[in-house]
Amino acid sequence: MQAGKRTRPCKGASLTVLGLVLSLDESAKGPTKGAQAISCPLTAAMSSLRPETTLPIAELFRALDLKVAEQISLARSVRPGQNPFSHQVLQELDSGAQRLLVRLEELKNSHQPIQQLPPDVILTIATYLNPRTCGDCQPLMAMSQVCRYWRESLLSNWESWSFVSSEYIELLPVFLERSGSYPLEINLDSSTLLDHIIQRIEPHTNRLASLRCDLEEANIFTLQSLSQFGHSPSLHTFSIKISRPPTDTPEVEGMVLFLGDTPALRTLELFPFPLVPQFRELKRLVDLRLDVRYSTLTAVLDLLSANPSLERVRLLGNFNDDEDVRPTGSISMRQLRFLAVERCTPCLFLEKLTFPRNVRIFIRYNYIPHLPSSAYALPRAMRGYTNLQGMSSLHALMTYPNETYVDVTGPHGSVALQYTDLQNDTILSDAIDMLSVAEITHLTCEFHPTFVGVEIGKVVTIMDILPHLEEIVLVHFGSGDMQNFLSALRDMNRWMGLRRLKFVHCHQIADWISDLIHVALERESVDLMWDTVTIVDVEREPTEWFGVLEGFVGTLEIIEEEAEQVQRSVRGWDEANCTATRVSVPAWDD
Amino acid sequence: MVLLVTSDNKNFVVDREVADRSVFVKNTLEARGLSIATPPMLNGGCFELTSPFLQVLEYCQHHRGEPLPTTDDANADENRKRTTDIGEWDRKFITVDHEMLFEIILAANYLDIKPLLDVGCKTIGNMVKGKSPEEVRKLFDIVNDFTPEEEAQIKKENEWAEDP
Repeated sequence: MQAGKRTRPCKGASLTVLGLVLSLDESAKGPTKGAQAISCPLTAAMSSLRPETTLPIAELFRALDLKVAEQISLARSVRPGQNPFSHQVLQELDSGAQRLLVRLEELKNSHQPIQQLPPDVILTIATYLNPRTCGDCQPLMAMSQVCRYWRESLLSNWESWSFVSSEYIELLPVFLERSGSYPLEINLDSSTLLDHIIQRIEPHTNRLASLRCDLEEANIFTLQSLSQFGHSPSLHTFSIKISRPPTDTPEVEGMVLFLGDTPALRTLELFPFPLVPQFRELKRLVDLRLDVRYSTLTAVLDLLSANPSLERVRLLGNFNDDEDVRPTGSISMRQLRFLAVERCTPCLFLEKLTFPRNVRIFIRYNYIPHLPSSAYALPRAMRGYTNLQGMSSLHALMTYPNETYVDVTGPHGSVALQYTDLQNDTILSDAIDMLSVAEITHLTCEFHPTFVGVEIGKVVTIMDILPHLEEIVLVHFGSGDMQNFLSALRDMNRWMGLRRLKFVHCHQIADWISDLIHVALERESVDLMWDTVTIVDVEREPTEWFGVLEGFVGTLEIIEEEAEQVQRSVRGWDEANCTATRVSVPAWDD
Repeated sequence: MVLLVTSDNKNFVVDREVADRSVFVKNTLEARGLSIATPPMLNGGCFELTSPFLQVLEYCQHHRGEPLPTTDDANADENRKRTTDIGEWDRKFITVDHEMLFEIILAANYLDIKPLLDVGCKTIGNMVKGKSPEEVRKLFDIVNDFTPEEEAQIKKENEWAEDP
């Protein structure tokens, strides 16, 4: 907090601090025990309060210069019909009177309650009105035009004016001037004035902190003028998004962006854009987001190998060409913590990378309609990827035609089978092949509503290769499945670590739950303890489950879309053992 | 337990956890050792002390146990600044007359209770949002004290928003 940038007069007596200091421990009998009086020194926080001043009458007169004051005195003695003043003197008097009025208004203002707020609080209020927060410059401009005190407070703070958007480009000079030498954050969208804007920004590239462009395809050539930008030592974020992606072949292949040095660049985002690895000095780059549809695998790998400090990499789309190009050698990414590959064939890519154990990896939607072989890309990638055992988290979506997929997070992660046609031996084989290398602890099976009961046998087959299971989630499970599932549970002795069981959108299984609990209790003798049974959006009222689950010592979670409503229901029963949680889907972005 | 004494000699006994919502109180307690508490408020003559302090205590009681914002988490601070949303309880709490609102803000500023200061500032920000300077002046009884030269400058600034 910026304290005491400016002081304001306030009403009342001068500042006094009365401090009675007491310590009361738990055993203290009365509030006065151990009382000790001390004086409290003024602190930084207190200094932001305005000190009291005497009524500044003298200041009022100082607002008029002495000469004008003399003229006023003379004017008082003038008789009717006389005019000893020249036109110039009258003008001076008029000007002086106006200044006096302005000063009077300012003094009146200082007694209004809101004007007691110190400048740093005025600036905090402005924080919530600046264009970065509001998406509009009007509130900040309006606030700076209310009164002199507010205006001076705001204009003395460069940060308030450091966010510039092409939404109010007419005010660009005002913001550039008022932001002083503060690092600039600039957001540009499609504008006919884009050329002009870039020209105006160019002299300020040395204090550019963030440049984000969200443009239409037609503006893509205008961006070439960015390459004129020189040294940008403060630039930490550079982002270009083309809202209407160019079709097929990029027309500006080989376009070079931003030739200047950007030693502080931490985030680079090009969506979608023909990647040309011409950036220099990217040693601090930690966050890379690329739409690689117009990039070659070679270019992306070059970029990755040139930036060993990368911590987060997100790639979207299939590479433009050279799918069969396999550059030799692997790329070591020692700092990598998060890798997301979406809608592209990851096999060629993953094979080239090595990274530490604790990387979170997301691979999803890698099936490309015009490239059927991509359906098998993930198993291929995972087979070829020898470091898989070392990863702590792989979240992959193995996509097949007809929107079926196998979703894997592991080792020590999860596998989800959603609408998966496990009757297809190839898919089942691929799934088993893929899963067998990982220590899967979490299994989600989402059954297609029309195939209820058909695939449980296959699911059990898959479960059988997952000896490390800790959690099973069954979605769209029916009573027919339940019988098979219970049989499988009774017959199999492998899932010793099973701790949690969740039923999501299941139907007519309530009668089976007590049997399930019995199985759990039976298996307790072989160290199987179920900590949690979670039931999501089932047909029964939440309270009806309590009778069914009598004797179950674990945690019951009942989840519905209206979690708060459920929570109220649960409270009446046993708050200690029940929780109601809103269902949330893991975010794609970390 | 900590006894807080306001400058108008009102005593408030509160849990340490509640008192610690104020960074000013917390730091003073820590600086002096746990055996000594601190004067929580001052009489700046700017506001009646007990009344806003009661409100501040109510806020601290309600939010006791919640994690305090840390100064080293720049991202959290940045995210906090980028939203003007106010929680339901806080919104009801801060629905007071203007004078009390300003006093609560002053108290929060002095006692260094950042979340409460933010709630107050967001509330004023939301009041100002969408209003012209003249409407803001009317709302808070502020007089236009700009000189004619400043007025001319402001008029020039506003030309961009006027219809052609």
